[in-house]
Amino acid sequence: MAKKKISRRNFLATGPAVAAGSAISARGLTQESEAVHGTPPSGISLRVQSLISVLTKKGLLDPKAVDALIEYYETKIGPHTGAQVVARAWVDPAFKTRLLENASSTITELGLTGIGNSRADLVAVANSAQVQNMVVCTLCSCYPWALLGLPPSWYKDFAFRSRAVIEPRAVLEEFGMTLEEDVEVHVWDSTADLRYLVIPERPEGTEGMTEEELAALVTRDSMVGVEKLQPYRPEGEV
Amino acid sequence: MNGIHDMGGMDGFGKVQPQDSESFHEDWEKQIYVANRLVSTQSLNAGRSANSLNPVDYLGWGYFGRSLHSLEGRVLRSGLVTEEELKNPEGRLARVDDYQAVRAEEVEARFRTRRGSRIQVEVPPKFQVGDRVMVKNEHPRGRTRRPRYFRGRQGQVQRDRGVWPFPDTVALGLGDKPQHCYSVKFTAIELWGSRGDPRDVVYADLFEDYLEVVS
Repeated sequence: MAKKKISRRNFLATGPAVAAGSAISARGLTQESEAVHGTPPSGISLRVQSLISVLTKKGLLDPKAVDALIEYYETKIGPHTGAQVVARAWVDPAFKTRLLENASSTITELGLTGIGNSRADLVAVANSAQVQNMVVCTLCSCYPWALLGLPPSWYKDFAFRSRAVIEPRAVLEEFGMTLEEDVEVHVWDSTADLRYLVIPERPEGTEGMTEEELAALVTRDSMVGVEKLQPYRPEGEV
Repeated sequence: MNGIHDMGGMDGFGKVQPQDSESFHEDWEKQIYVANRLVSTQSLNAGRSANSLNPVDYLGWGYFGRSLHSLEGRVLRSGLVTEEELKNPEGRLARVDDYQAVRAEEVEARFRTRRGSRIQVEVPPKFQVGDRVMVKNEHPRGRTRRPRYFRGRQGQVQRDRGVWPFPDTVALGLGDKPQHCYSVKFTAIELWGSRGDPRDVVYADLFEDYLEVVS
């Protein structure tokens, strides 16, 4: 699925999304609205700069460390790590069994020595023809970031956090997922120090692919459980 | 506390925006997010603040506005920074002794190393896999990881997640109170009545003190 980069500023600038949100919420029909989320007070950017400047001058924060950590979050961690785990689970059933039993220790077999400083254990849950798993954190935005990188904005938004547990099927539809009649939805609310990774079903048409080729097919959203991987069609075929 | 952050099952926030898939939209968001992680006040007992932002600001400030609130609150409460200094960053700034800022060279090792908070002590579990349990209908004023939508609801223990510090007492400075945490399965019907889909279930990881056996 092509992901269009869209900034919240653009949402605001283009108007309709937020305008629709407020207009509709005034009428009390919010489910029809595009999105309802907070907009930080104007001047917040200055307030952040001012706090960071004080912390820096007082020696409490090293600007080089800030850059290094931003770089770490933006380039070193990301869904490619989770994808590696999923691909191995697809090709090695014994690995998958161990992974579902104890994910934190099993991922060390791939040289993944920890799941960051999230102080949490990792849990893997597998989709099947009958079960679609989906991950949320209703209380904050807990996310298996060492395997998937930092969470997308939609994961942190109020709409996802509030609705994933009460109307998961409607939410999945908004992600473009249609479920077969007999499929159960299992929602995992990350209420404690456990972080969830969904193992999506291996797409059709991938027989004979290498682990590396398979990993390249695994998307972030499929590992949060809001996207089903489409059957693989070699380029040029329709 | 019965705070606005406890959002499971609320209506009114509109549709999900799958295309809003970036983590950050603006540079200040990155800066404050990272600064909030780098400046530690843990040893200074500054406590947590994210859940105590008033509901109107919680909704209005957005995710990274809450990072700002958290960091400001922590450095002020711990005494690392004064109100005066924040108001006048160009003015005189008091020195802080005995504080070692995280250095750039340390960042990666620090943020990659696993420091599991699971506790390696033997505590006998009160519940077994398969037990029917009810989430106690308690409404503590302090921090808790027992969302409102589970309170008074019955589920079944699926897994024992091992022994962990109990967030409710940790937040109050009352110690770890090590105890088992369990993966508990609830049917959507139990949680949401006729609005639940009979095919669906919700799992939560719940600490032992939140649960009681259903006889």
